[in-house]
Amino acid sequence: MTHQIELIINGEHYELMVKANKTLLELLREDLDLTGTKMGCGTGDCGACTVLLDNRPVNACLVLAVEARGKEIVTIEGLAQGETLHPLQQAFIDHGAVQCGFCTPGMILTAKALLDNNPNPTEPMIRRAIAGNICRCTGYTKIVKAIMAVASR
Amino acid sequence: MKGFTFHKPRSLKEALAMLKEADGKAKIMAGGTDLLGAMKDGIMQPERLINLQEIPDLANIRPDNDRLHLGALVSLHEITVHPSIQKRFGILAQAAQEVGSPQLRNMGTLGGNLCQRPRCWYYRGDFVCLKRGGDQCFAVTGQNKYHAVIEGGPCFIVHPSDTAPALLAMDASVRIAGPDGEKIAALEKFFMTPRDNVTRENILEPDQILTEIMVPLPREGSRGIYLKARERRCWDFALASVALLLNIDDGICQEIRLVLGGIAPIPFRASKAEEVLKGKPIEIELIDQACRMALSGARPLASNAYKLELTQALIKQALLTLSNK
Amino acid sequence: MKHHNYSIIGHRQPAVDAASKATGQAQYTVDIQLPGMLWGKILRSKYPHARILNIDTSKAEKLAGIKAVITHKDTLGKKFGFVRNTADQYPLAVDKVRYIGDEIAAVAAVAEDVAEEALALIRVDYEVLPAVFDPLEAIDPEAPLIHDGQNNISARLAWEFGNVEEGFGESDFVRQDTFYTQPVNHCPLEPHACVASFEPPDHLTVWASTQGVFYLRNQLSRTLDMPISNIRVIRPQVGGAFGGKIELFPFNVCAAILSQKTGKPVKIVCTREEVFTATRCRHPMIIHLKTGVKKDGALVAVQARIILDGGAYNSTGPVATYLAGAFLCLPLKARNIKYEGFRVYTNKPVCGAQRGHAVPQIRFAIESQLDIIAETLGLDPIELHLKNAVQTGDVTLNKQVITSCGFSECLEKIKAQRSPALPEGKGIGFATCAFVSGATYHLFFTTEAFANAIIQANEDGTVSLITGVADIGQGSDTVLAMITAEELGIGVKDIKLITADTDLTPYDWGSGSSRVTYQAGNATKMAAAQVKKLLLEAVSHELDVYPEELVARDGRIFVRDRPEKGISFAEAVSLAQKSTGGEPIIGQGEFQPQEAKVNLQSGEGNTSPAYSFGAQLAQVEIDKELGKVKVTKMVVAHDCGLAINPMAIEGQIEGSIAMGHGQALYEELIQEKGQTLNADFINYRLPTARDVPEVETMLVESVDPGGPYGAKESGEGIIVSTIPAIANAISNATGGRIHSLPLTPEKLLKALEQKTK
Repeated sequence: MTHQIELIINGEHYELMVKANKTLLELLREDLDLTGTKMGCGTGDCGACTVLLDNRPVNACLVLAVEARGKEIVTIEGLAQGETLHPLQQAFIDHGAVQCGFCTPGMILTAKALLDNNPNPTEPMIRRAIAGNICRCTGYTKIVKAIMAVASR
Repeated sequence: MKGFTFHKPRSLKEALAMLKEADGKAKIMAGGTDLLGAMKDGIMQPERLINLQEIPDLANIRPDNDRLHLGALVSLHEITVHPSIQKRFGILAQAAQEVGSPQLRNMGTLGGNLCQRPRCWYYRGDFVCLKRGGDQCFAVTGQNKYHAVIEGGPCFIVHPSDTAPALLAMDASVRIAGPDGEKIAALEKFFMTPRDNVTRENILEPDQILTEIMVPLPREGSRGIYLKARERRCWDFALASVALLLNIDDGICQEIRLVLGGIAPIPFRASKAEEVLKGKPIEIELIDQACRMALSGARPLASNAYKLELTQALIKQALLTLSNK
Repeated sequence: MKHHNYSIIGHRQPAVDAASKATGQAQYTVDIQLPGMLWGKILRSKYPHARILNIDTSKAEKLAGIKAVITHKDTLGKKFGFVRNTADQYPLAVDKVRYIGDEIAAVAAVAEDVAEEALALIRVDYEVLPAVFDPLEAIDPEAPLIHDGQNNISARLAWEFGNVEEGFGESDFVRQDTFYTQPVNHCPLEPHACVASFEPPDHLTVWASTQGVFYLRNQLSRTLDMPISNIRVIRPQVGGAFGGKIELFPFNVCAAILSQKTGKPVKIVCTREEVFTATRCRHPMIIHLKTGVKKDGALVAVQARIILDGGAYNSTGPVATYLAGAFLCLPLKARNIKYEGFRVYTNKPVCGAQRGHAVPQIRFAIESQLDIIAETLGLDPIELHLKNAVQTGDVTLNKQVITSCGFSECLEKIKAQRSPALPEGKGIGFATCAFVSGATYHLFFTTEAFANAIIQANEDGTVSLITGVADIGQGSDTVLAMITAEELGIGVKDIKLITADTDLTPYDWGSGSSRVTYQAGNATKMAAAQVKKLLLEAVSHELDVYPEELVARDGRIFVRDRPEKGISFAEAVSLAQKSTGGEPIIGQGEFQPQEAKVNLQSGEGNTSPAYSFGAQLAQVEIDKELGKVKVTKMVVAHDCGLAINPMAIEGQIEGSIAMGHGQALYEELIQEKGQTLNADFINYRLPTARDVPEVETMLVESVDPGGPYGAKESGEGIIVSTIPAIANAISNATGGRIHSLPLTPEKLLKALEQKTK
């Protein structure tokens, strides 16, 4: 069974036909070629597929595409303004917060949601906010520093 | 994930009609965080999903004079940040904060958290266990460090919910809608042990929907706390958890409700521990006695006896904190 | 930090690929989408040990959307393995399956869910065989044989240097313990994946999430019986590996055969469950350890007998068994050492290389035991280590040559950081490590150098660095770009990287055993130096000076004493080209370690051209009632030679500590009768941002004579000391000692209970 859905992704309006059992993650990666959103586990236990759904981070692997009808989605591809990177993207680069990079898109989006809500979080608040994003490479130290650097601006 | 049809009723009535028509082949979907995981694990393969997102009022938080009405679709995140929940129903806010990850709390709902399926690795793995229609519980002789220490048998799952112990400690009740109208049940009567029915964890029939959770306003001076032991500080289900509501007046314990999570197939009310303290002055000796009594009757399996120590330590910590000892 | 005058080296350099990763533009293997591409899936054994009687694929073949189904009959039935002469694994099971997860058949379909559906339609008739899961039972002569015609010992190495019996006799104190370590998974966030595309008549292209493209090509060539030049392996970005993507896997071979059969590209992405159960894990070990010391802490004799639980196939078994013995003592010296290592087959998932490769296990044991010994004798564990510390110029009993060593300096730095008396419930623990900067042995037996680089200077002032190195996220491309930029006096942004493509780049072993900075770094530096020589010569003619008077720096080539006299790098390239009539300005470099054959049987030989060292202090807080450990801080002193990119080295150390923290406290594959119960991120716990400790890093730059600019290994070895440092801190805080990993609340509560009895 397919459904017609309308939604906004990275500011663009889409009208799509989707199968009921297609996840938002599959829709983004397979149908729309927005492969910046990663799949690490498919069961909501790693956060690599984090996107913003109406400005809140969610695991795209546990959201059905049909559930996103009428919603606004932001993926990593929607953050930079032309050549200008989002401050968090720049900070992640500058602080060495990117190693293998597979957690990076989800991590940056989670951090964006945090800072949009609270521009001046403390370190424990940052750690709490990104606890749902697993990083196996960095030990989080430089990720936290990168987010703090943007927060303190 | 196997194919299914997706339905989004606009009213409760429509949802109930769909459920009835599906005759057991449909599942109700709220936030989907547990349901989709279970479907990916292959432990359920519904032909239809009935999503409740568009039904008005189900996501409302409505306080009235003596109680708080929480729609089943209120997100866990919202519970953690709602000022009046934080203020008057702190145990619930604390418990909701301990669920899953921030992302899961954004999608996950209170109703879903109460109705989630157990996390036993045999049930979720490739084992035809009792719960999946087989004839044995593999945990009994297998790897059982996360399994039930009390009220277990014939199946030894633990109830995974964080909010359930908190709501039970506050004596919450639930509103259930069905084909013959609505009923209200005490949350205490909502959960079912495997002895009652090994294939499910609560009284909801396939044609019924949990629509609302009602929490009575704790009496003046009551305090609550939710504590959870786990290995990591995010995601982990409780190795053991304690929800405690305590009212001390004049140094005397006027009211106590102590509910334990992560140790039994249902959220476990430690009545024997409550009896030790109720009506008595809260003293260290009595607290120790209550801790010992809380789990009397426990029968740990080969690898989970440590949960008894954990639970007792949590109860003690909770009692000491709330009685300012 | 040493004083030096480098303009690029030693400075904090953001990774060259960070921007593409932070914007989601970076392409990983899982992101590849080709026209007409099919999805492949693998049918795996449900039984830990069974003979295959029949495989009926007829129903699956008829399913709509299925394009091919293959079994062993479609393969050449050639065995493969990490070490050539111990190859024992088939791409698809031929006669038997030996663990739950063993590959039986593969399908290619138009969509992933169709492929999954087809797997369910393949009927396999098994004769279930008795299985063995406990390595001690597997050694028993009566145990079921996992590989027909041989016993279950997949590797055995034994050696003795000096005489330990005499050593124990001379010792004032002898301690014996048995330690146990657990199976853990690498958990790279990107699952294992590949895309294979066969182009008739005989060319195969494979994109793979791999640590080494040439290694994979070599293995594919032998398994598919295709010449290496007909196979092109390309590494897209790799989402973490940690040793787990160093080998060939059956799914790589299946994708290739499926593509050949269907004429379409075939993509296989492992599920997370498959990554956990059907790739590799760290070898669990049983370590019987006996150590004799003098009263003052001088190490007299160390004897270890270890059993490595290898799972169903050999994988890196002989190498792991060797490394555990080779690093029994380093970074310490003992006068007598005896080692016996058995690697045993069991009907369980296969164990192979993982960050630290067999060294974390053995060093967990020995650093725990040294802590016990120090406490028993009333010695300071740091002083005990200082007393026995290896030094620059030493040659160890097993002939490891220590070309540079800042280990004692690491110890002194850590000692200075140690806080005095601690309140109840807090503890500190100390441990040390040493690790290789790549190996000196060549696993492929080819004549090609271990590492190669080609650098071509372009007339726009940029250079192309062409190397087979496969960056797996650790930042090696950035290090090589920095070396190139430093040597040629240009910016990192001026380096164009062409890497990890077997058709385009020269041979390189890959990212494994912490070899890239040292080995490929040397090759790159040599190639850059050649380019520089060509440029300086051309410029010297133009400016009428000697080449030796010229300096390349800041994008210019100029006279050292008269910086105003010079030309831009771009002009220099054009000038050089003009002077040779248009020849490309190309430099070529290679690295080959000194002749240093390691003899696995005698245990003698120099394992690596250089060794890194480290010491760590873990601070913990314990909730004795909940058995809960919080690691509050890790202080590290790390001798990594000259730190080429300090920011990346810190990142490696912080990552190594986070991984070690997880493996010390909660990571463990729970297996029952060969079935993994927690092949998911819920019950297999990876540390989150709320769990990991604060990390303070102090770099000790010993400047190795053989390393590029003096650089050595960094970051991999640190996990070796992280785990015992945490274990020792817990013991320090509680007085209880846990001899098995992970150090869970369950075990801690038990240890505390025993202590109070």
